[in-house]
Amino acid sequence: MQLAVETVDLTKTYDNTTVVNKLNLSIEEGDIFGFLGPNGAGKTTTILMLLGLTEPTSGVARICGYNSTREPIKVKRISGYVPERVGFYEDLTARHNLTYTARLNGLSDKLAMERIGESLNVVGLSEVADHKVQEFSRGMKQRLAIADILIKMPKVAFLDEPTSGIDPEGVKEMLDLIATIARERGMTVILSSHQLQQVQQICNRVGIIAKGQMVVEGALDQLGRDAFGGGRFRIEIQLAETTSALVDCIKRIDGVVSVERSEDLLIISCLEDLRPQIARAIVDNGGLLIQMKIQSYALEDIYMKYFTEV
Amino acid sequence: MTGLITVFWKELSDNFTSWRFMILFALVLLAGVSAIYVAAENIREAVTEASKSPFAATETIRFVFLKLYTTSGQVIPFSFLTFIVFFVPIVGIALGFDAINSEKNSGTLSKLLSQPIYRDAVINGKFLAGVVTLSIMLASIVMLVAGIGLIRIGVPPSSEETLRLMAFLGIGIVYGAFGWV
Repeated sequence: MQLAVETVDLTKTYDNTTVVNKLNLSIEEGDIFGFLGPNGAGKTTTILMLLGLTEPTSGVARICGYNSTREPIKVKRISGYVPERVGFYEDLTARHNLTYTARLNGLSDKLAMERIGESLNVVGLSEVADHKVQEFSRGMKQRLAIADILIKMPKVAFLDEPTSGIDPEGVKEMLDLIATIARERGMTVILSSHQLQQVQQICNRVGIIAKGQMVVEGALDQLGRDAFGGGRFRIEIQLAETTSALVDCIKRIDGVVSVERSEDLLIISCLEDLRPQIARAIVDNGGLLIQMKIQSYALEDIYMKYFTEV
Repeated sequence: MTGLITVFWKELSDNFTSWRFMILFALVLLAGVSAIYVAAENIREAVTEASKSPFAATETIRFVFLKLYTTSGQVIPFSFLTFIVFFVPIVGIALGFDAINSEKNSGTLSKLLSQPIYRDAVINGKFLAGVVTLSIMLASIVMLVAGIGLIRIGVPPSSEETLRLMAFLGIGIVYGAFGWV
């Protein structure tokens, strides 16, 4: 399968400061890729290079097989970009703003009208289509920005911090919107963010970048496994009395990766939710269960882990 | 090419609906009309005086109509031409100085550049729109002044005078375009 986004040793240096350092990235079509990292890690620069808006110092960036530096027009035709501080022509209406985008993409007026109506509908702005953008809230502008890229029906969409400056409820709506659109249209989405909890709700793959280098990249569940010596779930149980026979018994359960004792707690790392099996093992061994807690590894744990290492 | 034309039309309509343009137009119009008013008042005197001079007599009488644009009076010591020389570059600068900057500040520049158009298309489209705006402004003022002048002095321009006027317009536009750049 052709890669939607690919970079090979992509490097960008500004006045002796390396912003992006030999970045290798491959994102398959249809992925929702969370591009994570603290501010100034090089996320935006990478996106700009992918779009052909900045020239890399060395290395290659490709979008659907097109070289971003050599064929920027082709790349821009199939990719949509929502910059971090997205702006519109404030004295024009939402519809006029989108019309401008449609014309710049060379759409016929008829097709443009259709797509504008449809896009505004998808993002829920049909009612205010003929209002001037200056009346819009930040959240509405973000949604209009999504509508703006839908006009050209891109194969790849780059969203730079799409949730910054929106209230929590708006963030959820925004992410749901992005996920729905990506699923329905088979669009590859690259979502850059430093807000982990938000991104992990909708991304199926993430890459964490720090100081211009990719620290870790992969599918979400895969990442958890690699980072924590095994399991994706962590079950904590507290027993009235812990016997080694019981520990052995739990270790034998299919899917349990490791069992650790810390004081009166047993910490079990496992691949799936094994609470019923563990409970039965305890009862069978005559143990008394006081409490049992389960948590799945949040991306945040992964993120924190990698960042303490960097 | 689509990019250039699209940017051009967008900028042209922006120019014509902006407050900046309205104010500039009003200013230039006011200055032009007052200069011409004074010139028309003084033109008879100017012609008589010029015909007394033994050297340039024939010249001046031949281009009476164009005298409208070059004569100044005591009340306003500037001719229409002087106004144009001052104002046209100012208009050019005013239309062009923040063409790209304003897009950058409002956050629309990166969105614009991520569309499938060449970067030149953005600059050239904006430049062309500026030049066309300036041309329309200058041409309409010169024509308006010609109309007022016709009524005031009652001398129609000869074909040569018309051609000279056109040439003046062309040079004025090029001059103003440098202001944009």
